[in-house]
Amino acid sequence: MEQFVRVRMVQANAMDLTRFQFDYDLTFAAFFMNADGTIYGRFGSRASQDAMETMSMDGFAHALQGALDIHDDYPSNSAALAGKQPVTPRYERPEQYPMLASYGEELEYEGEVVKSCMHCHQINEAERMLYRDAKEPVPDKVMFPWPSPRIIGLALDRLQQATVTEVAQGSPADDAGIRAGDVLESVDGQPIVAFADIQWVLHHADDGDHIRFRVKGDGAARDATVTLPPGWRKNTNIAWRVSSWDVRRMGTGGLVLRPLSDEQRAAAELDTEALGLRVDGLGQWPPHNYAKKAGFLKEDIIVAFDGQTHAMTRSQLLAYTMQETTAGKVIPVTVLRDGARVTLDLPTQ
Amino acid sequence: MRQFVLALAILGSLTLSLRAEEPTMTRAEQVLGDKADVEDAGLWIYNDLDKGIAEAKSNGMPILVVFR
Repeated sequence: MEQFVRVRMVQANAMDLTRFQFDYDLTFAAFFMNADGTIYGRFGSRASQDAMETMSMDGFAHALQGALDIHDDYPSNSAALAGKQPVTPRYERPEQYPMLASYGEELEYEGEVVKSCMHCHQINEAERMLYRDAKEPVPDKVMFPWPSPRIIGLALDRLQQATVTEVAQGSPADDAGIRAGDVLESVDGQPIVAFADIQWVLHHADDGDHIRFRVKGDGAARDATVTLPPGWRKNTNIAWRVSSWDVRRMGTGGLVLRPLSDEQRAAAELDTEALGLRVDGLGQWPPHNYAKKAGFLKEDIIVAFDGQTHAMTRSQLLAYTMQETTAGKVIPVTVLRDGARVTLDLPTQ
Repeated sequence: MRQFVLALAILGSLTLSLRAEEPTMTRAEQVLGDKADVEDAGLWIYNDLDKGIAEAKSNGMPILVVFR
């Protein structure tokens, strides 16, 4: 680490969005870059409630070394790094979002320092709110940002840069011939220093795109091309995201939902194709208490939501509210409560 | 080497703090204490990207920017 100039940023205020594009829901993220602004790679990944499931100090050490190797070869490797560079953002600074306009560029260390600090996740919330305020569906890329490699069937070793520990049977990665033990060296020609580099490519990908990996296994290095099937992004888990609290407020009136276990599903006599999400908690205070005011109770099981009765993950249900409903709509929701079906009117925001 | 270990320790403490916040301090105290600790240690440039870029231009080193 002493071979780097080390900069610690503690605020999103005045962040240069033309340069720093990463998963803004992370509580720890790192960039490796040249003084001329060229990005070598990104570090910081998360796919669930446990932030350490995908990150480790060992993995970070490998990423540091990977970045140093890229720096040693720079600028002769500029062409390979081209795809890692930022795209043109909607705004250059977070304060340009209407939702964040009240923040200043500096933290008020002599005053209300906490209140003056814009958090990175608020950028995600502000981007989503642009669509909500305009009564437009939130696009999949905004609703399901920075997909985990797990979406394409890849489980990676958090102690390494990009070593495959498991490939889900029948997944796009499996179809591409990637196997456990393989080391992913590059993605679409971009050298990989950490998982986040793969997520960068997935974040910008569309249905049907072909993602080309350079893979080192037992034998010679080879290419493996992953094809993204229709709707692949909608399997992303967004329930862990801090910014999803704001979706819960708007779309479900503050309901905290959990998937049913197999036993709970059987007890409720719901088959695997049926909607079944259990209320695990409810917001108690405005503006997160609309569900509580509507009469929802903990342990209720949602079996119909706005007429939808097919199985949905809690992430998919949250996305449904942002893509298929508009603010102010009152949604009929049927729950199982003590064996009986009860229909409640849930106002959205 | 000692500098590396110290920098790693600070980074480690940042990462570990993902799991547990200090319960006896207010949020404001944590922010101000963190700022003082990082500046006192002198191993990281605190919240000043331009300074980091200028330093990297003069010494030819790559830049590590951590958001935390």
